Formats: sequence, C-alpha cells, structure tokens
Amino acid sequence: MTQTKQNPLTILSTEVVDIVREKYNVIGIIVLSEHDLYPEELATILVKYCSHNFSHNDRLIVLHDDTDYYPNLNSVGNTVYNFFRLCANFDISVNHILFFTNHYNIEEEIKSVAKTVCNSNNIAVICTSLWADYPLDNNIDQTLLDDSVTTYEALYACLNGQCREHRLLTLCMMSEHRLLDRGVVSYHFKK
Amino acid sequence: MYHGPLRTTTPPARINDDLILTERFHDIMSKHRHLFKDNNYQHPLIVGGSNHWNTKFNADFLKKTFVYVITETVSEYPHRYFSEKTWKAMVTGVPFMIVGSQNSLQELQNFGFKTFNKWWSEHYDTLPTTAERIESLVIELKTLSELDNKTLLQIRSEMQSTINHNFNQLKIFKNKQLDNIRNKI
Repeated sequence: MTQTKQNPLTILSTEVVDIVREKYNVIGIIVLSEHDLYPEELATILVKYCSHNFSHNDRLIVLHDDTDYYPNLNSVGNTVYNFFRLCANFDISVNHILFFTNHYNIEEEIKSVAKTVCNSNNIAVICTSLWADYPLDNNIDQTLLDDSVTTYEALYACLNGQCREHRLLTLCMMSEHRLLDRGVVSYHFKK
Repeated sequence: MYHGPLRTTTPPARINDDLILTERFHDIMSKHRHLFKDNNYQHPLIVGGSNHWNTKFNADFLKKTFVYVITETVSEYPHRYFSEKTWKAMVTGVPFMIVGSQNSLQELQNFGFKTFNKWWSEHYDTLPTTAERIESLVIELKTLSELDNKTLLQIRSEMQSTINHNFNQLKIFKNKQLDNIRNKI
C-alpha cells in the first residue's frame, strides 16, 4: 500500500472506501492534492506501479480532491493531464484505476485525456461529494432547524478564508453598493 | 525517473485565479480592493471557523443573518465544485446565494436540493463570467436590503419548507451517491 502524508480515509468518506474494498483488492491510494504542485513528486509515487501486472480484482484508487489549474475554461487541468501523462509513461493500466473526484461534469474531460494520452478511456470516474467536507450524520443537529429567529442582526453573512480574486471582487462589489455594513463578513487575506 | 513534458506553473499554483474583467469591473476592484487586500477582518458575531470541528458545519451565528452569501473555493472554473461552505448552509438551515462556478445552483437542484428562486432571481448563477455573476448577485442583495426586518422574517417563514427539505436531502443525497458508487465500480 502506498504511504500517503495524510490518511486517505480522512479525505474520502470511510463508507465509500468500504464499498470499494468489499469488491476490489485496493493496491494503493493516490491523493493527487499531495503531489499536484510538484508533478515530479507524483512521478516518484506512480513509478512504483510501473508496468504493474494488475490481477483482475486489483484496483488503484486515485483521489482528485482539490482544485486544479486550468489555463483557460476550455483546457484540461494540469493535474489531470500530468497524472495520465505519467500513467502512459509508466505503462500503468487505466482500466484498473478508480478515479474519485469532487468535480462535477469532469468525466468527459478525464476520459478524453485518458483516451488521448493512454489510448484507453476505460476508466471508472466517480464524481461524489462524499469527502471529509461533507457532513456526517452526527454533524447534523436537528435543533438548528428551529425557526425561532425574531430579528436579524445583519442582512447577510459572507465568510472568506484564503484570498481569491472572486472573493475580493465580491467584497469590492458589496462595498460599491454600500452593503458592507449590512453584513457579517470575514476575510483572511493577509499573506 | 520521468523527464517528459509535465505541466507546471510558476509559482506552483493549484488554481488559476485570473478573472475575466471588463474595464468597469477593473475600476470597481481598483476603487475598493485596498480595503481588503492583505488585510484580515472577522465580524464579532462569527464564532469558530471552517477548520474547527465544532463549527465547521454548525455555524449558529449564520442564523442571525437573513441570507448566507457563499463564496465557494472556485468561480472562474470549468466544473462545479462544492466544499463544506455549501453544505454548511444546508446543515445550519439558512437560505443561500452562491458565488461559484457557472450553474452551481442548477447542479444542486440536480442533486435534489431546492434553491431560493421563489424569493429572488437566481439568474445570476447562469451568467458566463464570475464578475457578471457577482454583480447580479449583489444587485439581488441590494433589493433585499430595502426590506424591513418584519418582511424578511415573513419571507424566511415562507422558506422553512425549503430549508427543511434541504436538511433532509443531505442524507438522501448521501445514500443515493453510495448506491451510485456501488453500481458504478
């Protein structure tokens, strides 16, 4: 089993991993977000599977769990491209990969790249929201739903962590329309 | 070791953070960005944070506001992408607007969630560029800002069945996804 920096079970819902393990022999879990900024790191992980002789029931799980760099809206994500480029280079069978992603409508892109680069689009792409940032049953507190508010302290809430241009523009637009003082706002944009 | 043509960015980046901006949007950014850029601020009502186990989803302070404007992880992006920010709205039971990829609300509807187009226009979500979506959303918010507290409470009361639906849909959606995975792999 590939050793990862973070336990993959904390990234993908354990229920999902259990379903996979009921059916397949998982030979490794690759978390793309751990290697996407430096693709040579991804190469050092994937080289372990170079020309691997997969048995019928073996599967390699790939977790596409973070954003990707798209040069433009019609392009292919750098991480997706690099992954399949390396699979082709190391002769890794994409037929034995389960590609889990939190990007909706990405299946066509992935299959297209796999076909172009690896000459096979027979790859299972599973788009799911069931990652660590999806609420578990015990996160859901029914009492929060009670509708007992009698007054609002602000019109809106807008919470902003890392500085992104779309968050910056949202706040600028709020300011332009003199709505800033009507909101419960946060931003953590200091570098 | 592989030495082929892999794609990188300088500096290394996980997101292309360039927006498509007209001159007018550039002007608005130039006028106001100094207020926010390289600054931190947190309104005193806000408790916890997205990485805090106890407040990641159960952000009770959101209920003290009428609507949650979610600024998702990405916006000028070819795929729909939802993080804990969106699910937090469902768990906490608050109405929401999303600054995210184009047609994010349509995708949530495809998942079985309900959005709030009975009470404001959600046309903003369909516009092609991030800047257009943001401006249109803020104009909807501006319209809401002209309503008094009593009217907002009345609207919120009308929304309760939608809020309850979304809350219950979280589990239904989860189970549906698990079934889909069983069938797909």
